[in-house]
Amino acid sequence: MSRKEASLQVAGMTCAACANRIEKGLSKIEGVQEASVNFAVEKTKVVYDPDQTNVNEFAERIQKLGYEVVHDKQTFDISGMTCAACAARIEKRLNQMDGVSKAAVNFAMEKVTVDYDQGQVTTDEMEEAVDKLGYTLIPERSQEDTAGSREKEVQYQTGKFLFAAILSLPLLWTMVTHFEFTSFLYVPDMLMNPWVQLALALPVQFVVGAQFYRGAYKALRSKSANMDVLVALGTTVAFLYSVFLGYEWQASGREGMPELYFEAAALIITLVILGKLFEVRAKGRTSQAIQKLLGMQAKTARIIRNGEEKEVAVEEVISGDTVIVRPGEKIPVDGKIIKGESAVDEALITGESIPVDKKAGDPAIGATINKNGMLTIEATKVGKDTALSQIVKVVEEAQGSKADIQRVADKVSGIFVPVVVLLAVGAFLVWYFLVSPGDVRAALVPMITILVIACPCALGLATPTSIMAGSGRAAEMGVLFKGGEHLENTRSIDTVVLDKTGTVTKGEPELTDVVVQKGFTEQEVLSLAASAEKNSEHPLAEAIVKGVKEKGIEVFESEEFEALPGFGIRSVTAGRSVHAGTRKLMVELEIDLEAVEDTMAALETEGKTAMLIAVDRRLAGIIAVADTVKATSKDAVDRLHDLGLEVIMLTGDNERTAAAIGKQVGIDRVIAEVVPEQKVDEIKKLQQTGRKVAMVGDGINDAPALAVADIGMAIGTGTDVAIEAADVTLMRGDLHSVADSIQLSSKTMRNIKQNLFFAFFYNSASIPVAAIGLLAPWVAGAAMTFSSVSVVLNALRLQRVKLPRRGEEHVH
Amino acid sequence: MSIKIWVISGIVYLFIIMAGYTAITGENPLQSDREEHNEHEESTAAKRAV
Repeated sequence: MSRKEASLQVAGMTCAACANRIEKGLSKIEGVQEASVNFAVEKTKVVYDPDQTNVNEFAERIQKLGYEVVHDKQTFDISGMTCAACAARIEKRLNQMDGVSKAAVNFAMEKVTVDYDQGQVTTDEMEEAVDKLGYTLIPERSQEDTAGSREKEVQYQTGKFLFAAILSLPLLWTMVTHFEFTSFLYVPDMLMNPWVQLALALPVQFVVGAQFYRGAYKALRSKSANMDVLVALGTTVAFLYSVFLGYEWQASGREGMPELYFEAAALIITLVILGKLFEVRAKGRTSQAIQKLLGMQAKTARIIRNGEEKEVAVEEVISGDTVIVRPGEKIPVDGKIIKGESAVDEALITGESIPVDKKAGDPAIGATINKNGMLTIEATKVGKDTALSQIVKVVEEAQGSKADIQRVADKVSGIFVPVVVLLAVGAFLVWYFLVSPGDVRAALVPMITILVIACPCALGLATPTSIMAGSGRAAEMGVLFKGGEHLENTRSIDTVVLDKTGTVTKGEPELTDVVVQKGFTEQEVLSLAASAEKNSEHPLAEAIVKGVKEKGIEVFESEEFEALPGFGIRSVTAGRSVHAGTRKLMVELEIDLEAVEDTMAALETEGKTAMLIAVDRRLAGIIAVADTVKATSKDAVDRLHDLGLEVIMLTGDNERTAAAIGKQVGIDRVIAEVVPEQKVDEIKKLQQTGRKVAMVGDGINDAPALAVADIGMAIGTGTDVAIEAADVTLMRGDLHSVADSIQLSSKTMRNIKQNLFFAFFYNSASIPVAAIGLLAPWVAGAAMTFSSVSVVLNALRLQRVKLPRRGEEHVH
Repeated sequence: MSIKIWVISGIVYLFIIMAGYTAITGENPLQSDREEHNEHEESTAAKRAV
């Protein structure tokens, strides 16, 4: 019996009993000889027989027991992949390795993300394993390096394509004149000579086509097959058979003219190279969103150090530095404004095109543009901690992740090539023995055509290119999907649960109504109330002062101030006695409220907090304050209704206020007076009735509810939003983003399905056509190229998607 | 190799083939004998008929 030891990092244990439970659970797995958990360092050591069990089984069991296995995660670049079959092979090999719990290859990005345990497997071992398969695994390079090597690859392939085209075109010339309607065309005799054709096709086959032989060799060496095998096999058969026919022609004293296939072999290689070239270029465009985001970053920053202003590279700015940003410049890092006022264009981060007014005390987001004022900022987040870096990280991870639908495509493309080879051989035998007995030529054409046309390239590109383009476009609109699976699942949501404060409403109370009594003017009441409230720290008082100042009404210093807890305040302002507060306060002052009772009740029914103002012990008026609904909430809820979704609002507020807000924005159902812990139960109740629930909240105090929901959406503006908290992050802070995310998810999935249908349909329809000999081999090469390119171009359509608002025409 | 070198290599190779053809056969590489071409067409057609 063999013996191996594994060590796993476990999170979520709260006491020694948890450790015990894990030990027992692991010991029950067949093949485990010993399991011990160190609660203090949260490590689990397992001694096991590798022939009977593996580390993945341990991780599964630990997760079933309710704990989390903590993995190391690393992304690598891969070079040498030519089709989805290569990706499937690398993924399979890495997943087989002990210590690797998950490996996901993204063929379009040429990257693999591996969840692994450093104690079990090292990156060197992974590199070695991949190297044995014939590919190269290298630590992830920066975007610039990746773009640089992609550009080099494009240059190299372009050169090869042009070289192949120069030599293939004369061969194509001889073939074009085979049709009756083109037979009048001039063809030099030289091109009809088999040895000249051989000389033309030779470098294309073995110099330009060397990459296919290399790829095929690597694949066959590891007992698998990929696109290179098909291209190498198809073109070599055509080439060698033509050489044989040429030899026969020479041996028979140059009688007649043999029908050669040099042109087919050379053209297939030329067209496949052309297809790869288009593919590399288009693949580069799918990751445009990230390049665009990175390109927006300021390169330098003007900082004050030791009292001196100097310009430094943005990487040199450290937290706590004072940064000067002049009008028109980009804010280099995240920070807090300490001096100055300006409008800041935050479109890059929030997707909101209208500049936001900022003043001292407000947060500033790196990479946004300072429009018109000089700002002095204290740097708080630099480097990888900035909002932009976080966004880039989330988008990169989403683009590199896999949607469930892709796993089906991966499985199919993994077995596709051997099946195609069998079909091609079958077609050859049927033609040779049954259809045209003894005619090698007739049997060879369908075989070569099947080999060439059935490459599963389009199949491998169908899903990742759409996911990349879709998540990139979403990021531009301020919607960040954490992974491909969330981009896939968001569209199946049928119920949207909204948190009230900060989600439907602005989350900050505002002055909404002023009702004055006879003998007082609005300006007088507001000025006295705000002056009195100025000394209070209550949020409602702050809202009144802010609202009054915004109206341009003067606010004075009070001569006296007294807070009356539970009642309100008392103050002497401009020589007048001012009281502001509740009914109880007015009753204390023996003020009759009968005349204003109805108004008070009406305001409260609307969800507002009404405050009574008395001046010189006479009732002067009512000032109402409320957490107002965001301007876009009503339209956004209507949009969600248009998408056929039920919209529910969940709040800790009282029934009356909640109902008033709910009615204002058109919410279907309001669940009020729910404490944060109960929110989770409410979501679960909805899920038990078979609903797919998306929970939208601020991501901080709603975190448990966001985690329980099928899709958790954190909403906020700029740096306020907790990106880590949710499956989807809505940076723009308005509810339209919820509808945007659902529509983008639907559109991306539709795009993936179109791609998969196209790829599957193309392959399944073209094989029978090729088998009955209706396709020339070079047409098959062109068609194969076309299929891959069309799949990528279809995915790129997602980058131009515009989502209609209500009343707007649908633009696509 | 840069794109330029690939293109030049292709063109040079093409000229080498033409020069080689002329050197071996003594014929003009651009000369066209329609009969020979027709003969090829016929032989192909005959093969197909078989």
